[in-house]
Amino acid sequence: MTDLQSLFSLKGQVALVTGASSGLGVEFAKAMGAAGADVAIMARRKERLDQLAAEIEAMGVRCLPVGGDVSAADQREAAFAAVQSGLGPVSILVNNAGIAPAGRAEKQTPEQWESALRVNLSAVFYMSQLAARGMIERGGGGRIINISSAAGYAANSVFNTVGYTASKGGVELLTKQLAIEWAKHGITVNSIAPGWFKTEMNTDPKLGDIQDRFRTKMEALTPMGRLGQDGELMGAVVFLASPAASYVTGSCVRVDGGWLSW
Amino acid sequence: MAPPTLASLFSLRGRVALVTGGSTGLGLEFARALAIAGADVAVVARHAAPLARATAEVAALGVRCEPIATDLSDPDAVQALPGRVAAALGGLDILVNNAGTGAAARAERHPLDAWLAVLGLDLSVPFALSRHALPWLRRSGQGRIINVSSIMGTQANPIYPTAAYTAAKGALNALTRQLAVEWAPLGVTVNTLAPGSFPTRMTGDRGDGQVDDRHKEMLAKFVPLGRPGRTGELTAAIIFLASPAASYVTGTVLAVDGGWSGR
Repeated sequence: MTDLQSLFSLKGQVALVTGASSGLGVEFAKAMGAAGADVAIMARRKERLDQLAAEIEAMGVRCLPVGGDVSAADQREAAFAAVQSGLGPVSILVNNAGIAPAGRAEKQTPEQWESALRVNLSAVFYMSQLAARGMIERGGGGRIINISSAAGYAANSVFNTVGYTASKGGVELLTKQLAIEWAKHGITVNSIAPGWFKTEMNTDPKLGDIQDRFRTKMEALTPMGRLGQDGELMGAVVFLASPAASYVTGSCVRVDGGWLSW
Repeated sequence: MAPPTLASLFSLRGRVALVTGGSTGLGLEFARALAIAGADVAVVARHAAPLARATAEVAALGVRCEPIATDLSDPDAVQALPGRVAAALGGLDILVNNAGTGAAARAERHPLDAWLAVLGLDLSVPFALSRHALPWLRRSGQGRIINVSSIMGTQANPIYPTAAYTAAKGALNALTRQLAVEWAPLGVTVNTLAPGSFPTRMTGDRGDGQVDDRHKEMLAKFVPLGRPGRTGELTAAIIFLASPAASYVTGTVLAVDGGWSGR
């Protein structure tokens, strides 16, 4: 392999990106398209996927918007069926959909806690199962990339998100367990742990931005002194999805500006 | 914003890289990888003949390659190295601390001089070289230090008694975090690449990608993928860490180990 294309090109692959209607999911979907994969983009709010689909198709690949909630079994199965018939079998799954119910631990409702585990952890497992069953049956291996968080390794000291933190810690070990179980099938399972990026999750809807007091804390607690910017997660996801990452499994790529180093 | 491309994410065209221990084994793969991504590369090694062969191989990829024969156990040579690279290739943007050594000796009998020699080359040299390279890396604006550690930086060696090597690699991971934090404000990222089992002469293997029976037994027990890493399977990882796309990645350990550290 003597050029970037042969190392990193995803031409001929079908990537399914969940939670693609906003935030980091948009970036992961664009990265897959930029590397040449056909991309299925999934979100509950399907009407919000059309513009992204057009942008990705402008990169010269096919893009299929799929409506659906990853936390509902029938909708997960319908999504895989739609991708299979629209683009072909999923060879790259990016489990990105996530929620972060906020509230002090002593006041969180059972629904807040359970919804975080349902979307961030259980749905990641069930989506991975559906993807892996197809990959095992076809025998060609595949790539599963779980979008975890720096909160998968250390407490969230900016927002009170007990369910989010617990679920992301779970995603880290889920990643490792699936990696060792599916290694023999040529399926690699890895995670990406982003630090602070501006997303819908941490943006105050009234303000259209992150509140100053939170941003100040994020910056002060990040060695690089700034949040991650648009595009700064693309390399990690393309690297993990690429044919050249064939010996990388059970690993985590932290993209956190140094957050977890101190 | 223009749509991203593989080149905008990963191209190292116009950058200058220095790879220690770059004439054989994994170091040669790293030198080749950076050249594949378009960087000019200074290859540092002790022995002239393998260095000449490596230089020809890297230059054949269409970049400038500067061979530097030097002994990293000489502190003056280490101090002078970044300047020599910058003089030859016009700067220094990417430092790959790859040169390393190991000593197999049971801990209770481990000779102290061997302990110090391993810590010297595997830990003190990367620190000294990083320090001395810092002025150029700062000037680069996209300075990168990549320390080549090992699975032994996070786990014990289950087969060979390598107390010094294991301790040095663990310390190298810690050094990576400290340098990452101290130099983040200077625009220099510092990361660790941690290969699992990649058979080379240094690991006591034949250097042809094959492994002996003891090594095979270790792979079966400890590596979920059940095989050693192959030549080329570290190429993408080093390009990624060196690339413009890794601008927010610092202080991390990137394991390329077939699942070993996950178990």
